[in-house]
Amino acid sequence: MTAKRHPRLKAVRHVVRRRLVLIACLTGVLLALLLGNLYLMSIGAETGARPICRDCVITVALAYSIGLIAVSAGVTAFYTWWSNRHLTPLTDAAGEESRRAGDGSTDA
Amino acid sequence: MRRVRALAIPAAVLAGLAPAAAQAQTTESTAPGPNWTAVAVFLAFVASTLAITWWAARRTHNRDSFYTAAGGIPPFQNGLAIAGDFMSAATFLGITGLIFFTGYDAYILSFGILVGWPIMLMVIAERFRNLGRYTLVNVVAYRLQRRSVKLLAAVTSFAVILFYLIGQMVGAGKLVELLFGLDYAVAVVTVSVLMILYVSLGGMIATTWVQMIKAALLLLGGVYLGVMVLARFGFDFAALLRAGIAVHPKGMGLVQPGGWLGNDPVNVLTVGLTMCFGIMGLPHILMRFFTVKDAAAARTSVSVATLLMAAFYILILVIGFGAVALIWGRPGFYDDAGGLVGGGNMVALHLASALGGDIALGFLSAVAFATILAVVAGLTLAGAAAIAHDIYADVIHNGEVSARKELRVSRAATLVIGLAALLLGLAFEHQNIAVVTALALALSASVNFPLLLLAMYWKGLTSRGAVAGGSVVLLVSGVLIVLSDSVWVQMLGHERALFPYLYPTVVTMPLAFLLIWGISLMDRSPRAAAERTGFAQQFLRAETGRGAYKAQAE
Repeated sequence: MTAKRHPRLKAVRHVVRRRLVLIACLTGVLLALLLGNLYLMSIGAETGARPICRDCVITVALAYSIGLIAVSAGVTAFYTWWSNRHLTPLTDAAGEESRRAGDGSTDA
Repeated sequence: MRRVRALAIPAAVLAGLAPAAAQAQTTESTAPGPNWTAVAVFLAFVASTLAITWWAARRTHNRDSFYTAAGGIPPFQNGLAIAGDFMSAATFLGITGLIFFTGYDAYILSFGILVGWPIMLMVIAERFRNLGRYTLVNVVAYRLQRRSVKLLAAVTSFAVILFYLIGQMVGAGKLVELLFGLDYAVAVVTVSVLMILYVSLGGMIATTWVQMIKAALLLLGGVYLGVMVLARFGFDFAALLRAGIAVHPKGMGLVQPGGWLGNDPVNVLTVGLTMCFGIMGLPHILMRFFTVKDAAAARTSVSVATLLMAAFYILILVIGFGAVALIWGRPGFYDDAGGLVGGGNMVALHLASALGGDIALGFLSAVAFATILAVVAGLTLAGAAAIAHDIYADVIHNGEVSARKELRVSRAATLVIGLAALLLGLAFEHQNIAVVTALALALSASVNFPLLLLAMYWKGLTSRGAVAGGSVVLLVSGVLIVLSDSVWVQMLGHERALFPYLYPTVVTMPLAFLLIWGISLMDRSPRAAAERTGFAQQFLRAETGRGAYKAQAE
């Protein structure tokens, strides 16, 4: 890990790790769900074409796609809430710490 | 042959090029007479946006304000503008039309994209804002030292913009021809003149306002149609579907997979990948992350945009199936030859007419045109930045150009892009524009996205890996598109496509990662060592915003 070899990065290590774990989990879930929908449209089309209940017209694939959009919106809202509540204060503090340590970065 | 033609629809649809789709599904479009409500709403839109442009021009006096509104756009407004920038007429007219004809499969164009947005939010938005200043090239080349990296990224950015722009211009011309009864050339000239005025005078401030107004109008129109459709069926979505299934020739197939992509796993995968990852390399969308004050504001912007688009994509489903239930087979909407009047792109507008008469039709027609104007304005601004900032200032003059001179070049570039768009729009009037749109998205997903992701997250990326890998993939993408149905069969007249899939992304995106990774690993040059060392400082800045460009706006 780069941070181990650069003392000035220590301050952000735990922030970065928390965020990376969360992002990896949420991205993994979204991509898995997307692949699930693609499966229902191709190899699993027989399952995708089934109605979700007896005498229903809403198919598994259609319900899944609507659910996928809802989950995507939910993940967006959750990540934004989490970052605003937990991440921004930590990154601000870490940025301040690294500035006090004089890392030499300059504004673009 | 019918399937082959149907496969060509999505690329056209995505760029708002529904007339191409329309020709595949219906008879030649018939231009109706002008709808005066549409003309009035459209003129009101143009007048208000030109007034805003005049106001914005007084605030656009330097490079920062021209490219990024000096970072002074509030997050909610930027989110609305991102939604306005991204939701082209394709979303409203094209996807609705595709659902009308092919059923459920068309919805991959919605959910594929919607999954991409939160990933872009989490993986790209904040780091992108922290690392760059004006364009995608700033971020890709942050620690890479060769001009060739900047040149490659600038060229692919510009290519994506240009291909996208051609699609929008042809779509605009065709739509205006249909909606207002104007000549195609007059429509293309009108769009070009307006976009040159918006961008060259008002820069990012004017473009943002045009996009916000358009997004608000589009959402208003979508909500109106969605609510009116549901009201007809007692707000029972299942009843709406039953009514559609009862009249559509596909019957239950309308809501089952296979109506468009034929359950082909590779085609489904390549469309899904293109939709999901293609958005992450679109320069005009990425550029909007620099219009806010910091990474947290960029995050909020993307969040607002995603939530708005999620709501709109749900409405699109209601509108698409609602159109089937309320329009399919109704004599007033078909011509003597049995084709839908105006073609497949008119589905949503016919629905508006069925639900709200001439006033609703006029309003939504004007919104459709405003939608195209807003998208082309964003594309033109991003194109001007690619030419003036990336190629002229960074590549040709190695960054040693005064901000004042760069601003002059940007304005000149806007004029050049506007004229080029005008000429290309006229030249491509009768061409299969699905090709150019496929190229735009495929390049975005196959070159821009891998370059951007690896530049931000992988320490081992080197200039040599980026340039060699990116160039090869650029070439392979072009070759595969030529060998695909859109060119090989429909333009060159061969019987079968040598590359039988809609987009090359299923091949080119993994190839890009593999090549860039492999070539970077083999690069043992001193420059590569320096570039790897530079990752530490980049990492710090990307994560904390320390050293990131500060917004200049008050």
